[in-house]
This record gives sequence, C-alpha cells and structure tokens, in this order.
Amino acid sequence: MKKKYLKLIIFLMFLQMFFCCGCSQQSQLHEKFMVRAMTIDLGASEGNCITDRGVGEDNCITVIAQGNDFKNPLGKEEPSVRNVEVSGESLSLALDKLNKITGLKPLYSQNLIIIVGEEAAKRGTEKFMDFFLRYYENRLSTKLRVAKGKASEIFEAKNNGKPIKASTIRSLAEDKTDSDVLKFESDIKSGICDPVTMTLEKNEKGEVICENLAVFSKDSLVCFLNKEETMGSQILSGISKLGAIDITEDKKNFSCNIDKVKTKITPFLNNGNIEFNIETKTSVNILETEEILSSMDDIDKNLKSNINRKITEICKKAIEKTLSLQCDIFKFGKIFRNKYPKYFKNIESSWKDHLKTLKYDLKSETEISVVGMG
Amino acid sequence: MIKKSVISMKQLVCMLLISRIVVCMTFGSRLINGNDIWDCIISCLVSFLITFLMVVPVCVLCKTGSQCDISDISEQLLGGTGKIVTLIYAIYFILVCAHTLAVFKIFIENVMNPPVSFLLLSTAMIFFSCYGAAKGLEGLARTSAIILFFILCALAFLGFSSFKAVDFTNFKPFFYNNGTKTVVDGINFLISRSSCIPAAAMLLSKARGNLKSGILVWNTSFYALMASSIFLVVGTLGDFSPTRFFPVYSMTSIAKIGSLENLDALYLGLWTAGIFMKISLFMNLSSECIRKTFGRKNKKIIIFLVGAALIFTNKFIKISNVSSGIFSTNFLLMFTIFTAIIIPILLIIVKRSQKINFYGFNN
Repeated sequence: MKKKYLKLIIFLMFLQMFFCCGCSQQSQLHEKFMVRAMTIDLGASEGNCITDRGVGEDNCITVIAQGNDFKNPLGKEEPSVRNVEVSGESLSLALDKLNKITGLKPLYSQNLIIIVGEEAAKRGTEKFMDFFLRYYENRLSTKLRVAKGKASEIFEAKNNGKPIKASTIRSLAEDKTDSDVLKFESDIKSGICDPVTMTLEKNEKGEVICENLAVFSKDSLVCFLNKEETMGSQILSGISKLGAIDITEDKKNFSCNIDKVKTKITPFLNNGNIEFNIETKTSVNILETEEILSSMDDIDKNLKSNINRKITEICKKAIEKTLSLQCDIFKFGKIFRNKYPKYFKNIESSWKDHLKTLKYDLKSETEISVVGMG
Repeated sequence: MIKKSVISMKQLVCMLLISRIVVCMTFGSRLINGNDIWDCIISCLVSFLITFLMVVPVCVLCKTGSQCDISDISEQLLGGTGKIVTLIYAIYFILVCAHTLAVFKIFIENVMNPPVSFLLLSTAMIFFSCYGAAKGLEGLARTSAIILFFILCALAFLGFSSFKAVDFTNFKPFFYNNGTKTVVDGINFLISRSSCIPAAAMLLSKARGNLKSGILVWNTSFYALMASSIFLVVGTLGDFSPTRFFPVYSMTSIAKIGSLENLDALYLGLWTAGIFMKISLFMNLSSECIRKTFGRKNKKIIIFLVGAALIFTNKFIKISNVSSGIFSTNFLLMFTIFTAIIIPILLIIVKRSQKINFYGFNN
C-alpha cells in the first residue's frame, strides 16, 4: 500500500514539473523571421558594412533575406513577404544583423532557395557556402541558383503585381536541373567533375526567367550556357521534360516536346587515347505542326533524322563549350575512373588537362509519338 | 528467490538487432580514420563471416534455456575468481552504455543543437533507460519487438525514398583510394562494435528457441542493413559523405517521396528509440553482473546507481573523446574480443579439463 502512494507521489511530482513549466521565454512562430529565400552578392553600399578586419566594402557580402511577414492576418491569405538587406565581412556576420534589424529571431530551416550573384559566383562560392553546409538549421536540399548580374535584382521582379515569392522562384526550374547545396558541394569535393546550377535573370518585362545553365570550375563560375546548349547538356544528363523545341523540315515548323531521355556514356581507351561513346535515346512528342496531321504516316521519315540531327547538334554544342573551358559537368572523369581505375589514378591530378583533347562519338536515337489523334 | 527471466529467441534477436542498428545508423568515414566508406561493403562481408565464428564459443558455452549465463558458469568453474570475470563483463557493459551516450551527445550537439542543455537530455534519456532496465528482461524484450517493427518500417521507407537520388557514378572501384586499408579499418570498426556477442553470453541461457536460426537472422539482417545503408549513403551523398559526422542522417534529410520531405525527423525518432533500447539492455546486464559480483539482492538500486555513474561520466565526455582513449576502435576491439572470444574459450577449456580430471580420477 505504501509503495502505491510513493509511486503516486513521484508521478504527481513529474506532473507538477510539466504543469509548472513556463514558456514565456520561448519565441513563437510569429516572433521568428522565417527565411524563405536568400540572395548573396559581393559588395556593400557605403557605411553598410563595418569592416573590422579591413576587407573593404567591395569584398563584403550583402544578403537579402526574404522572410514571411506574419503580421499579415493568417487565414485570409498567405502571409506577405518581407525582404531585409544586411551586409557583413562574412555571411554569418551579415546574417547576424537580421535579428538586430527585424527584432525577430531568424529561422533558416524553411529556406527554399539560395540565389548567388554573378560576381560572387565568379569569385568562388567557398567564401560563404560553409554556413549552408554546417549550420544545423540549414538543409542540404535547399536549391541553389545563380543570377545573371546582381542577385538582389531578382527580388525586385513582380509576379502578378506583387513581389515575387521564394516558392515561385523555386518552382521555375524544379523539373529541369535539381541543383541543390548537396549536389553542388558533392561535385566540388569530388575534385574531378564540376558543378552546374540553373540561372535566374530578369527579362525586359521585369519577369524572372530560368532558362540557362551556369557552369562552374570547382567553386567559381566560368560561363553561362545559352538555351540550346542548356537543353543539350540536360539531355546528356538524362533530364527530360525540357520544354518545347522547334524543328524545321521543308520550310515547315514542328514543335516537339522531349518526354523521355536515356543517355549512356561509355568510355574506352584507343591506343592510349581516352574516348567516349555517347548514346542518347529520346522519346519525342510532336506538339504542333503547321499542317494538320491526319495520321502517323503524315510524319515524314526525314523528320526523325532531323530531330536526331538537332539533338546531336545541341548536345555537341554543350560538350564543346564545357570541354573547351576544361569543365567536366557530364561526369566523364567519374565514368572513366569507374571503368579504368588504374589508368585514371595516374592521370587524376591532370584530368582537367585531358578534357581539351577528349574525343567522343555522339549518336542520337529518337522515337516519335503524336498524341491527341484518338 | 530471484525470478528467472525467460524470453523467446525471436525477442532476443530483436534486442540484439536494435543494439546493432544503432551502430549502423551512426556509421561514417570519420569513425574509420576518414577513409572512403564505399570499401566498407567488403568489410561488411568479411565481418559477417567473422561474426559467425565469434559467436561459436559463446554458443558452445551458454546453452539456450539452461538459465546458466556466463557469470554463473565462471563462478561454477572458477569459484571466487569467477566473480572477477563477472566484474569484467559489468565494466564492459557500462563502457558500451557510456560510448552509446557519447555518440548520442555528439549527435545532439553537432546536428540538432537544441536550446536545452545536453545534460538535461542525457539525464532524461538515462532516467528512462533506468526505468526500462528496471522493468526487467521480459519487458525489454517485448518493447524491443515493437520498436524493431517501427525501425524496420521506417528504414524501408527511408531506403525506398532515397533510392531515387542514387547516382551510380558515385560508386568508385573497390580499393581505389587506400587499397585494403579501408577494408581492414572497416572490419576493426564493425567487430569492435559487436557488443551483442558478450551480451548474448548473458542472454542466451534465458532464451528459448532455435539458436542457429536466431543467430543467422540476427547477423544476416544486420549486415544486410549495414551494406544497404552504405550503398545509399555513397550513392546519394557521393564525395560529400566524408565531410559529415553522421552521413546516414544527412541522407535521410535529403530523402523525399512525393510531397513528403525532410524525413530526418523519422531518423531522429527511430534512432532515439534504438538508443533507449540499447542503453536499457546494457544497463540491465551490467546491473545483473554487479549484483552477482557483490551478492546484492536489489537489482533496481544497482540500475539507478549505474545510471547515476553514467550521468557523471557523461559530463566529461567531449567530441574529441568519442574515438580516442577508452572509446577508440582499438581499445573497444580488444575489449570486445576479450569478452566475446577469449573469456568464453578459456572457460570452455577449464570446463573440459575439469571434466577430464573428474573422469580420470574416477577411473
């Protein structure tokens, strides 16, 4: 009987501990600055960057953090967004000011996208990436994009007359290249291949578009691929749903959609020369023609070879451009290493030098389908 | 009179498997001298075979259902000296608890960085583990079956959801970076964390059922899980994995299926449950050994004393300590081999020699 009472007393003591707990010191959700997107640029406006270490305002990092503004009544519509600009000698020093400016505690776990300005990307991402890799609130799946020009300009764009939101920017290139913090850093750490990310830019109408690919050498931005080269590189990377492409045959225009892509890259050694066989198999859907199709027979056989030629052409453009810059974005090095490990070990340190003279044979096969004739 | 515990072989397998899975989930290249973990697939295969050999002396010595565990046998064979053997096991089990808590501490400090102090969290964990250990072996066995079910479901889900992100170019040829060194380091690591074998020396006698199939299921399931987690970690994280303390956790944080993202919460839940199970089991075993050594009757008080000792030692553990000193792979390997192989073999020899002497004297 006594034991029972003792157990009851212990239980009540624990219960009391929970009931007497206060949470007044804890910050509520509306008291946090929930960062949803971040732009990173190099350089700060005068007086905005206190340079204790004397790095100079040109080398300061300026961040615009877009967060949810919970002052907007919840329930009626989504909370509106608020952009806060901070500068510092390092990313952490800059972000440290978020709290001082907003009076809210920043929360990074909901960050959807990091947009790096062109200049900052050219000078190397290692300067600020460590924060995203090691700070416990950050997620490795956060998307990474490079802005043409200043990254801060992206937040100046409007979407339906309102400031563009992080979720909108992120969804612009979701299906195309899934470049996130993890993939980007994994490619840099490999030391063999180079990372890529999609670019963001503002068009004449002030809208944000995401069409091109930014190519890096290690952590530094080297070049931007144009729309066709981007599509070629995505086909080579096995990415489908790239959007419509135009094919001209007998002065007639066809618009196609690449539904499925399968790319096989096979390395081989030919008299000590490193060569690659690249085979792409694509499934193309004819979206639109200038003449109304009545049956599958209407599709000229030449169309197939034209599409093959077009795909081969854009893929070659992408390969030539990146190889000329000694960037291995198609993981040739890793593929070669996995097949010829002993040979690769000897040339691993000079792999980038081999890229310029790399030989390859590119073949494309296409299957054409026409939907909507049922 | 102390009530003798009886558990089924399936329950024993569940308990031992959870204890091993906890190791599998904290595995990373930092624990094998910064080597590439991909070669550890071969270490898994070799360790799988070694573990079968390691279990033999314990299985020969401690018959299932005999109610005579290794401490009882050593006392029967060696008399008062046998208590030293029991004490060695007690120290080993406490060391395993302390090491598990140290890993838990690193994880909390390095990955979660919660607003509450680690001391509070570890005290709570130890307190609940003490409660679990005090409930006895049957209670632990029943709980472990439930926890293992959830752990396996969650692991299958995590594996399935991260498989999509596997990049096959990340798989280097075996022995590419360090030759056979990584494989050897991997084997050392896996064997040094085989604390389940000394635990089996205490538990086998309390279990009923088919021992051979139990050992086969336990060992095969663990190494299959280990190999598949290495495959997924290397495939998804690639060259980024050596930079992480807990690559399996990093893998779960990028896994997604449909609209479900950030599955690391699932990892946290099941790993904490596994830690609780392992600490409870080893606290129970250590208190059993201490009770037998010092002839105390009240096991529950000993459990809470062990808990208090763990809280005290945990305060002094730093990140740098977790793979050095008494927690270094070499020390743990030696201690594990000593308790899992050397002591049981010595006891078998003593047992056989006593039998020979007995029959020789009669003749």
